[in-house]
Amino acid sequence: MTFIVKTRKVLLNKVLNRRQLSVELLHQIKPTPSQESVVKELASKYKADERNVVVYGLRTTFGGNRTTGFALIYDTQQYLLKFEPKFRLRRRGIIPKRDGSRKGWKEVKSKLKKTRGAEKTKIYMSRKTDKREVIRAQKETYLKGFVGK
Amino acid sequence: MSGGLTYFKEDFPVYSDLISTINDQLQSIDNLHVITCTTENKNNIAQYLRAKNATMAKYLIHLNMYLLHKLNYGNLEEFPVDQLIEDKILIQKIIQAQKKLQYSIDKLSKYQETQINEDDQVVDQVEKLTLKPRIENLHKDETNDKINNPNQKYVPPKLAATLSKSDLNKQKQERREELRKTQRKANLIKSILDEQETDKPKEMTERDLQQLYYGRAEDEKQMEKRKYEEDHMTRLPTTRDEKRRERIAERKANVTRLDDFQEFETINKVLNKGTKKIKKPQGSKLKGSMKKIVKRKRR
Repeated sequence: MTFIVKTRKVLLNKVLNRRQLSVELLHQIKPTPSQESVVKELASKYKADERNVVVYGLRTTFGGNRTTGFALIYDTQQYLLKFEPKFRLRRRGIIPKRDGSRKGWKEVKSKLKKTRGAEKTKIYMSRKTDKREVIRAQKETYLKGFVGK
Repeated sequence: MSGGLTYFKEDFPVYSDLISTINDQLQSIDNLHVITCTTENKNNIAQYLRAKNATMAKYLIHLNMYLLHKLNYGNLEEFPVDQLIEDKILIQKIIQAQKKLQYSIDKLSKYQETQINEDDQVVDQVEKLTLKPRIENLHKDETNDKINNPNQKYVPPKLAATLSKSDLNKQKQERREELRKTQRKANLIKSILDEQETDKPKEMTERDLQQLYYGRAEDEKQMEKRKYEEDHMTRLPTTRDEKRRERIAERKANVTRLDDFQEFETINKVLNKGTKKIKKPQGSKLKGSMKKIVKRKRR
């Protein structure tokens, strides 16, 4: 282990079935550690599956040697898929990334500002995004291939 | 069945007494209604009391009928039990509401008692008269009562010296200045003692450590931001002001000597030796109002 992990403000969130904590990493001289290494450390510390641990918001302080971040440890994979926001699931590869471009959305937005009523809903629904049913199907396929420890 | 009838016969006088008392109370309420004045509140209270007693009487009568049916006939399906339940629930709710009206009911009962003692006429103005002020009590001079004590000396009123607001503020300022003086002295002595070499360990706060290692400590705004982020488990975006402040702080932290400026000057001279100076284009020679006219035409 090339860095030290300190956890603070551990909170048991029963509503969302997870443990929330803030993480502090001390890595003198060395560069900031990667998310995967931090996930491994936390999983071993809290005796959880690595796939149920989510780390985000890692930021180094001025001068180096210290980074702070946040971590969430879910009870099961189902709760992770239910409560995690989609952009974090996309980072993990559970949901495939978006195809639509930024410019396309801006064009749609400018059209929406000029319309009202049924036309507005038509234009909004015709945009290129992942629909709810598609995301649900992707999550189900992922869960079928998931084997718990 | 016969055993039940005997119990009922024994208790029958009690029931009859109860019903007679309820009837008496209803009559008293009617009297109250006549005596009380025409204000809306008192009418409502009288109606409330009458409704309460009427429901109680009705409930008792229905109960008695139910008992008789049970004892004599045995056919309880025909008897409307729903009414009994409704009456009971009504009575419970009425009694709950009585707590809020208790004050006004007590007031009415007291008023009724006073009315019985006084004349039997309808008195609407009695309450207003009783609330009038007593003019006798207004002109009472306790200090200069020559009629009561003619031989007594004149006793002036007691006066105590008080400070004005400006004087009070001056006092506060003086105290603050004294505190500052003592703080400066203490800081001086502390710095002198810190410079001395002792075996005692020095106290370094987190701010001092940051200043030592990184050359600068956290501002109040940065501390607030950090606390907010940790409490809400989010990361806030960096603003332009923060970036500007960080750049300035980096420059301040990196400056070590004053001789660096000379080095930069020499380096710039060496680099720009062969290059020509580019002249900036001159501004328009128009002055004052002509400039505005030309600009308007160009638009």
